[in-house]
Amino acid sequence: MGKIKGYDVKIQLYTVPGQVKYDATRRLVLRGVDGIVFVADSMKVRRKSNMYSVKNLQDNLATYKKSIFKIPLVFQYNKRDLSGDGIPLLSYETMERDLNSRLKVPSFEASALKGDNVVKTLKKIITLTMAALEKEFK
Amino acid sequence: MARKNAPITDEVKKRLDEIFLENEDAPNAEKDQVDVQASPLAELQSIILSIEWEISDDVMHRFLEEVAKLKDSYNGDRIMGPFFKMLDSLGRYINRYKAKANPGAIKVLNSVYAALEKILLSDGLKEIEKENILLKEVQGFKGLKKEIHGGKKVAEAGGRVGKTASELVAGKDVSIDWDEGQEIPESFLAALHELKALIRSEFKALREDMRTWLDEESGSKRRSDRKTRRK
Repeated sequence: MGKIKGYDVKIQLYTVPGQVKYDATRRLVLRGVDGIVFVADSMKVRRKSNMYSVKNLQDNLATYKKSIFKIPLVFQYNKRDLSGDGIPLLSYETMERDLNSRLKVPSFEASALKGDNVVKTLKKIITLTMAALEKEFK
Repeated sequence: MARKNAPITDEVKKRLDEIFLENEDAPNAEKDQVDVQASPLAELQSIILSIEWEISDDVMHRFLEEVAKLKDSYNGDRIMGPFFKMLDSLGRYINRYKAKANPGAIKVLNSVYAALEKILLSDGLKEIEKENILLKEVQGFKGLKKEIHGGKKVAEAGGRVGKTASELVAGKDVSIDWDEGQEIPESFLAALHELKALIRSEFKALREDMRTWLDEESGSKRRSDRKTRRK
């Protein structure tokens, strides 16, 4: 991103899979992480998996002495486009209640396939991370 | 121009808006993808993407095999050689430590691969430009090694940073074996010595106890034999 207020800012993005069996990759990437976008699946059938994954994220962060309540975090509720295909989706309110009621972090309804709100999510996490890092360096 | 005391978020937002506006006219990513697919790096790129998905024994084995294959086909190439050496070394390190590996290892691996791809697929890059790209990656790689070895080699590595790309790519200075120079922390060695000493003294005490016990046993046996003979 170049120089911002005297800082030479470089953004490195890593995607990690959410499935339980890919824990090794997630844990390794989480060790050096400055900010997180949690992409939740909006499909009704994924309700439990989403909640389990947030818990897993909290546990993995805790192993590196990081708190899910302190790290810059944004929720992206993905696959909203599927509502047009008749696939049962969780409502935005339900997802907020399930995942974000205690964390109260920014969240976006999005569609990775169509690109809806993807850039908005990215901008939000970068801004939050930069603000947190600036606070840390001061 | 941003105010000096304005929060950093204002400037970040402004910069992000500029970037995403610029990217609307960005070159076609699909075309770049086609270039890689038609190159000798096609398989390596796909394996590297798999590593991002999960670091499994199978993926790492495929990675090391592919790097070895490419290393052979570019044997003697003074620019490509160090790239494959670094990839091989990083692959072995990540394979060995997996989730416990230094998180910087994945970043360096991706960076080395991206630079390799740039050199291999960009037409018209001058030799000096290639050397400079390599130099940057070697320095990043050495920085990672330094971090992993707990800063013990700072002075030594610091002396090397000033070398030119030609000197580095000349070969011998690019020592990139994790095992070579892998240093064991002093605290661990001290604890190990203490444990050895403890075990030694425990064994010594045990041997003495056994000797005493055997002496007592044989003494009582002798006494009992004498009694039997008298009867």
